[in-house]
Amino acid sequence: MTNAVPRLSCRGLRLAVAGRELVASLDLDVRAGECWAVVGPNGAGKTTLVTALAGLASPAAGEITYDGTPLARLDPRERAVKRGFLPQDSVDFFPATVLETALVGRHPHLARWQWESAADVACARAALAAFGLGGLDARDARTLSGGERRRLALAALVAQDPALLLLDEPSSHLDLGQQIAALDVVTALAETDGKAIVMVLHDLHLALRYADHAIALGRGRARAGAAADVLTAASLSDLFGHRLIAVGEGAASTLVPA
Amino acid sequence: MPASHVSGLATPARSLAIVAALAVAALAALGLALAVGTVAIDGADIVRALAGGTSETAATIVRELRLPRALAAFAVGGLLALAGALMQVLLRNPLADPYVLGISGGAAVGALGAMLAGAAGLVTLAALGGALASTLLVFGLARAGADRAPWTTTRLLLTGVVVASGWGALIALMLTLAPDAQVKGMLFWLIGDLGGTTRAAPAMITLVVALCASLAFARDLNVLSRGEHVAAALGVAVPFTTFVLCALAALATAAAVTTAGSVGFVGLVVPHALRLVIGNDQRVLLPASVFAGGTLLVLADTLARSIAAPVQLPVGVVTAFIGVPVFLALLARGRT
Repeated sequence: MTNAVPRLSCRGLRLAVAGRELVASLDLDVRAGECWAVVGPNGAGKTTLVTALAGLASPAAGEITYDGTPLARLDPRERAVKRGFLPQDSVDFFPATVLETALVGRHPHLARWQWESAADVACARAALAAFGLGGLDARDARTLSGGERRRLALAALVAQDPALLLLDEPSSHLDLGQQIAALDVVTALAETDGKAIVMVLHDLHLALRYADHAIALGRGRARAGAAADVLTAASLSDLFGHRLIAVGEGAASTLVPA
Repeated sequence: MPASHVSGLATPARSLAIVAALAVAALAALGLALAVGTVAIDGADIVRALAGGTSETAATIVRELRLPRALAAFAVGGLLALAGALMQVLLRNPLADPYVLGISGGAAVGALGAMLAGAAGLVTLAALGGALASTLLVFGLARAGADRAPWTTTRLLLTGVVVASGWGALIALMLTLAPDAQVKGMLFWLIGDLGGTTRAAPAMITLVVALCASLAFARDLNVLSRGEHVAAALGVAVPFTTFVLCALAALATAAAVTTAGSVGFVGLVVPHALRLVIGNDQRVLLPASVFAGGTLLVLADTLARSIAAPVQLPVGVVTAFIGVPVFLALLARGRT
């Protein structure tokens, strides 16, 4: 596995917002089957990082490649076939049904004049069912609850079926049970389908529970590596500016403020 | 219950059925427009007139007066509804209409300027020049600035609104300076009027071109309607697509105002009302808007030239009188 070309790589990635440097230089290799968590305090640059990795904002410096191909050599549609991106929030400007919203994920797979096939509809329905939204096909998406809409956005991402999934706070708006149910579905894609996953997580418990690798952002630097090395009480205490202690065991282990 | 978009996914078959039904309605409206007027002409005579051959008065009326005017009305209505549908999605605002980019203002300044200068024959050309100048001005200014940033809908909208205000002031100035005898003609132009229309071909050709070109981007528009970030993540080349579609909307609007002046209401209301009924899939909505907008303007113009005959009303007044109650009724029924 380690010999394979990484799904996502970056070298010398520098991120800055409004002249403030968030990340000086980041080298990263995300391989098939890996699940990465991005953690860090508010304003550390988590969203900036995943947006840049998604190719939706230009980094201040550095090169990003998908499957060994530099982003600059991929047009928007080729990028969308390789990677999916879940933004922090989504807004509904016009009425659309739940099924229509999930089907939007199939857009990069269709040619200009092509309509969604029965296979595309089946793909969207399967994604909806995976996130507990089966049977809501015809509902106006704007009548859903915040948690249901979040799961609908996740379903659209899964229907898109990219090899690399970049998610900005996938667990937001979800209750505790739904957080586990939704992230079980997402991370299973890494194990069973060899997807590569990078997700911003606020909840350190979820990061410890699901990620095998992690990027800790803050204080102008980024630490990337195995989750066991990065997500430690010692290193994160420094990052969050508050002492953290490890509690719990196995799947229930987490870090809490002392 | 809010409308059938909740019940059915847009499929090629369903879309074709909707567009075909609206096309039949458009043909019926065109037939009515040929039959109704100071001289009533029955169906058999219309068919004979269209087939050519005879040179009776009825045939001349149909072929040389009513047909060009009815086709022009259809084209103008279709162009405005198409431009409105495009602008509403591009700006993600159901209140957008074809005139938000200031195009009608530029056309009006051109047309009124020609009237003021006494060059009645140049009104159409001057309107086209004004529309194009305004379009170039808005697109150029929206991108002006230190970083030459790509076109964004917000900047286009803001620039368009401000440029439109400038045109508005010029129009008010010209109306103030114009001799009384000319003011009525100017007002007719500003409200929208098909009385002077003799050629339908330019508007009709523009309509076909603009519809086909925008249909090529229809699914991109569906994704864009969910926001620029979502669209970019799903592989839409956002700046390029926005530019092409804004340019198509500008072209459609310029062709419409050049033909009939600033007919209001069609571009705002037709796409919005259709969206309430058939949903927001642009692959259906764009052609449906064209046929529904065209039908509405053909009916409105027929009414405008016959309801108070021999006095002819400006068609823009009639579109508002028909459109306002219909739209309010839809809104009350649908709660979208």
